[in-house]
Amino acid sequence: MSKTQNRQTMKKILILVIILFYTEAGFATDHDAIDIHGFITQGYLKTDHNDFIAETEDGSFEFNEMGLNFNKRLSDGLDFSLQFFAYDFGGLGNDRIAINHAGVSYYVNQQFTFRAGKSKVSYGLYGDSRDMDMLRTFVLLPQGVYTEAFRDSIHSAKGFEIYGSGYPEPLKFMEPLGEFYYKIQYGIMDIPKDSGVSHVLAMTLHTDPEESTSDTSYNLVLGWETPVPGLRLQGQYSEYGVFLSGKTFDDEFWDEIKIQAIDQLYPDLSQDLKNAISSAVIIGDMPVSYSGDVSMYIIGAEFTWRGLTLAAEQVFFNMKYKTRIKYKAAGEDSVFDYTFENPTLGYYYMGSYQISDWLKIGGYYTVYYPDKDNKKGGGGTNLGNPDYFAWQKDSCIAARFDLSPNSIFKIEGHYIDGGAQLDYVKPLDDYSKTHRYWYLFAAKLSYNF
Amino acid sequence: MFNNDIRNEGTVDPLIESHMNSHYPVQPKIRFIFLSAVVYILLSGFSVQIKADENEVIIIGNPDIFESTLTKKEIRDIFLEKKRKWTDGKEIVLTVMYHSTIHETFMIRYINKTPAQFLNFCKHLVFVGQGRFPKAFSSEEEMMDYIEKTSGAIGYLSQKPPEGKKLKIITLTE
Repeated sequence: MSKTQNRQTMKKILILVIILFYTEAGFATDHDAIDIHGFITQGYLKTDHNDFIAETEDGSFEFNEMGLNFNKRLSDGLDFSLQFFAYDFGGLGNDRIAINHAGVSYYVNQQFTFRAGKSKVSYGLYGDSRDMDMLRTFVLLPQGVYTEAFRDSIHSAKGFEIYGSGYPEPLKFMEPLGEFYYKIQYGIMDIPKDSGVSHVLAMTLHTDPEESTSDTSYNLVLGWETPVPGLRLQGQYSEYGVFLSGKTFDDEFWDEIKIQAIDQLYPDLSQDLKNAISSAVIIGDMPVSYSGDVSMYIIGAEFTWRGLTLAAEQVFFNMKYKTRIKYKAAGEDSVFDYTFENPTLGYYYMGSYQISDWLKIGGYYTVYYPDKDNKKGGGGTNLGNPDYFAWQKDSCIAARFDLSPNSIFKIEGHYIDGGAQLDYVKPLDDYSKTHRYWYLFAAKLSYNF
Repeated sequence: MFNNDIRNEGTVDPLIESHMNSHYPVQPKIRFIFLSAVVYILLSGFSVQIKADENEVIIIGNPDIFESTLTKKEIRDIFLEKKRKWTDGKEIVLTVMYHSTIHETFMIRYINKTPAQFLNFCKHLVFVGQGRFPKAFSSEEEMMDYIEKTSGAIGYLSQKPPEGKKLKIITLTE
């Protein structure tokens, strides 16, 4: 970190500390006014080996968030909300101010609310609130499900949503079964080429990205607050389309694709002829485009009893890419179409307990497989990388200190086996310099009003 | 991954494997201290909450509220902003008294959340643009005055309101 960056970071921390100790704001609403609320956080990350998104091996303060929220009740049942948000996490966010959500919602009854505009996309039990550090025990949500690199793209969408809960009058007799809730979202997510999703796609597909866009997506959430008090179950299904274009890396991965493609196209040729074709075909550093259909489901359960919260979730992504690659064969330009399929799996188990008004402790264990059919490495998108890039298993313990109703300090430690997400945001020059086992320490100070 | 995927089954170094499979004996004294600390932490949390359960809660509302009785579930739906209108279509106006024993009692008994969980819940609604904070007061007097004057307002008290206050006491039904 440069001296200028250090000075800027120290200035941010100083402002935060002054705010923390010299103001106290309330969480209340003035019925007819515009409600203004906000939050600011500053974190610190340090790893003993490996850089995690930011340059964490040297310790990094490039880990902060700011949000400013405006809410206004326009008339009975009609609400307006707007949130400006900026964050920085290594190469992600870079403190660019964006509209996190902005829209108008109309409450018809408990079973039906309609909202139009830009909304937070539901993602698992905690995805829609991941920008709000004050709402959780942990600094980092379990990366097996809440992959940090996806955060800037898939958590807001322009379009509309409807949501509600409970039973209409004729079905009230079903109340002993517990309560169901739902949310249907339809719209378009913004996936620019410098976004985390674009980075991840590029790294997974061994490509330098040049352009990235997305198609309309839909998201269905169905939840059940069971008759067991505090126990809720939730399922979710989403589909969205992405388009990415760029240039292929010149690496072992594309060499392997070339061999597989020749096998597919000319299964009856002798191995000598296949080798001859292979040496005449250049597939590295060539223009490539992907038209991808991503489907995703998440299932989860949460149990809360007084200060105790237990949760577990599993996410499954299936990405199908129609790939068009331009290549040179014996000096001639040609086009080759290929289909990729990349199933990704992640899950976690989490527990936390509120010991007192000011102290909460928790822990989780989370696992992520970027290619669920290749859990031990050595093949697939992991070809040419160390085996331990095929998984990431993270054990975390954390403590949250509520210094006041507005200010929070958190610390947590992680023991991580594997490096599946190490190259997601920051390209690695030399994979052999990474370590399979590593520790991550995180601390964060936040203020909200 | 690919249509005709070529996979190598990874092998684990025997040294690492034996390290992963080994069981470290935990000294009985350390285990005892750790367990005692866990039990103390759990009990200290519960004792506060058990005390909170013993207090009385009176649900009050503005006299123009159509409902005279509510179920526990309806109270929960109202304070979690799932139900935002009374039966006659009037808007529900929520009031709370953070940092009070009655707030803690009310939250645990009716909302099934600790005060901290409830505050986090409200912050969640506000910051994702799906709700607003309740109107907050620091005393029961202030809360009663506000509810008396505000159509559709609902709140809670630790004792019955004094004579002369124009407030509706809402009865709990099953």
